[in-house]
Amino acid sequence: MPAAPVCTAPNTPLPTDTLCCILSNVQVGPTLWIMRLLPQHHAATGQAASGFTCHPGQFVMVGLPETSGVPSFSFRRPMSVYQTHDDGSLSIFYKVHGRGTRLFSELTAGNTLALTGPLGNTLPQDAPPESTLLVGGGIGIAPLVCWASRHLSPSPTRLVYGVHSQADIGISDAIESIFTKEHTLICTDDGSTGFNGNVVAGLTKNPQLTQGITHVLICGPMPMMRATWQFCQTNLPDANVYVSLEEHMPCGTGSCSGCVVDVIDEPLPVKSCQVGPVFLASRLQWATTSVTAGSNA
Amino acid sequence: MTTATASATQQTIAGIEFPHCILNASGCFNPVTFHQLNHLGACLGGIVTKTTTPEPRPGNPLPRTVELPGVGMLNSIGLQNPGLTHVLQQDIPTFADCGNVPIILSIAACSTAEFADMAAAIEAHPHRRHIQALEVNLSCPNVAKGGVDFGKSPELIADIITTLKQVTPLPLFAKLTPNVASMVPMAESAMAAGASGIVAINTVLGAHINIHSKKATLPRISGGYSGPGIFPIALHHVLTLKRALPTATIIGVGGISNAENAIAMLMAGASLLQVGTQCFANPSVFGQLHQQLHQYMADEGITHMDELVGAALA
Ligand SMILES: Cc1cc2nc3c(=O)[nH]c(=O)nc-3n(C[C@H](O)[C@H](O)[C@H](O)COP(=O)(O)OP(=O)(O)OC[C@H]3O[C@@H](n4cnc5c(N)ncnc54)[C@H](O)[C@@H]3O)c2cc1C
Ligand SMILES: Cc1cc2nc3c(=O)[nH]c(=O)nc-3n(C[C@H](O)[C@H](O)[C@H](O)COP(=O)(O)O)c2cc1C
Ligand code: FES
Repeated sequence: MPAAPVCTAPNTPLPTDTLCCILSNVQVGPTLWIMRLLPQHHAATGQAASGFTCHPGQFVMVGLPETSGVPSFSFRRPMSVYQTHDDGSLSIFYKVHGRGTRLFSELTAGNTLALTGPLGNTLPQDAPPESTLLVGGGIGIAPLVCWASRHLSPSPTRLVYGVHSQADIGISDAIESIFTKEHTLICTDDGSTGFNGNVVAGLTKNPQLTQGITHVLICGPMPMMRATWQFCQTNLPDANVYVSLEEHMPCGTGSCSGCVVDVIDEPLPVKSCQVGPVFLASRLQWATTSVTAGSNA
Repeated sequence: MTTATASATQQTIAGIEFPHCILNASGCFNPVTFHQLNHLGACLGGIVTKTTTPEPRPGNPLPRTVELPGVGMLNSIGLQNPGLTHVLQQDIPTFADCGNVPIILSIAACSTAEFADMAAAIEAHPHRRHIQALEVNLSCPNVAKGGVDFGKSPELIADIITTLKQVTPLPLFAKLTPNVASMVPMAESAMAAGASGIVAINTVLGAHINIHSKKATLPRISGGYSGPGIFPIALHHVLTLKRALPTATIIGVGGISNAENAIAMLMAGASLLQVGTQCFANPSVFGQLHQQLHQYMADEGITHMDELVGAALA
């Protein structure tokens, strides 16, 4: 049985499986979309669903629509919660990667999707916003923005966000409304905006961003998370560093053992959908951590 | 709208009262999360645990699964489990709180002696009282006999069931592999040795190749195919087993993903059903199947599901 999650929040809502009405599905970049979903009915009983609540860092499993009414088997797709809203709806921020996310992008307001959640543990709730550094790579930004948006506005938290190109930022408005300019560093591989280089190069060239940092929260592609963790070990040796893993998750409910990662001092690999997706970086067995564990940047 | 009464799908098998005829299949179901999602007491016939081995097993390297859009999946989990002691100590009492339905402990071992030791440890454990039956997963290679799969040898199956019966009075359900020319000799052997029923089928051998990397997707090359695509295979085996062994209890499993599949599997001769892979696509499957099966029976004027069992063989 997996060890206790590293950061389970008190009063974490129990997961439900609901049918949701899509309120909107808006393209925000060449391959980037934001979908807002309102839970309406419990899938098993048809009873009315209550509004969606969760803690930042948790995820949902989103069911693919059955095309033209023909039953067709698919795994659900794990998606971080990007925003929750007062009307009980939630938003996911997603990148079109393969078959499933392409199907999502073809849906419109009024369509229905199944959704199980909230699932998994949470980003640390007690990390002080003013001494926390968020490092996001690509679509890995979603849970980090969710975390910061629950705190003060404007946020005193520092953000380093790496993308390939300016068009891949997708959520510039949200970033500008949550974080101050001086606390934000956008890094682009092609230099189209912000710092020209990856997040580790950006952090190295901007030491003010790491001054006084006690907590680092990282989510992105595996090579980026690995490099950022190495940077932290050298430059922020006393900081509490957390990574949110995006391991392939066939079920998301702790049922299949398809999503496991090796954790120090655990005799068996642990289910990242249950014990994670957030792990203390110092507890991960980085040498054996799967190359698939990382977002589709 | 009328639906059949709740008792219409209750089953008593080997002295165990199953409140409903649909159970989960081993290894595809976390009782704790599913109880949060479904209130299992209202829709599940019983909990079948993930197969446990005597000692903890770390399982196979990743990736362990491949999605096969439309038809199901491949898995190569490698029986990752925390070992019998942990399962008895920690998991069984937790599962006992998940809807208060019968619990079937799935066990696997690499020799007859190991199976006997497991049964003895179960009998001696204080949490034994929560366990109503054992499902004997006969798909492990037999280390003592040169790696022959138990599930392919009627003699080894007889040996294991006979030995287990000497150690435990718990009903034994023999879970058999379909990866043989005919499952009938294995089932005959298990029943003759005293099994209370046959669980058919385990996964079907399959493989997947990534045409971009030009390599098999699973590190162990082949894995177990499950999900809707194997339903006709499972149905064939259940029909064949029930025809050959009309008095044997068959637990039908393999590819059940909707009420039509469930009803057909009963008509093929299964008295209980298990649902595995569909839990991944639809975690509300148990509540939905429960409702739909009752609705079908009410519509057809069927008062108890036994009227359906084996109906296609008549
Ligand atoms: C906890 C968690 C949170 C995530 N949050 C987000 C998010 O907020 N926004 C977003 O765009 N993406 C997110 N991802 C990644 C997202 O789940 C995958 O991009 C998506 O499943 C790809 O599906 P597909 O059908 O487009 O791709 P396909 O390649 O066709 O999918 C085939 C199978 O592989 C799985 N898969 C493929 N890539 C990934 C991946 N990187 N991670 C996990 N599973 C994968 C799919 O789920 C599916 O089972 C998250 C993943 C996890 C585990
Ligand atoms: C991820 C996964 C893990 C499984 N683990 C086990 C197991 O531990 N023991 C077992 O007897 N069968 C195991 N099975 C097989 C199922 O119990 C079932 O026999 C098979 O998947 C066919 O049913 P389905 O199509 O409804 O899934 C597993 C199947 C899957 C997909
Ligand atoms: S995704 Fe199935 S156990 Fe984690």
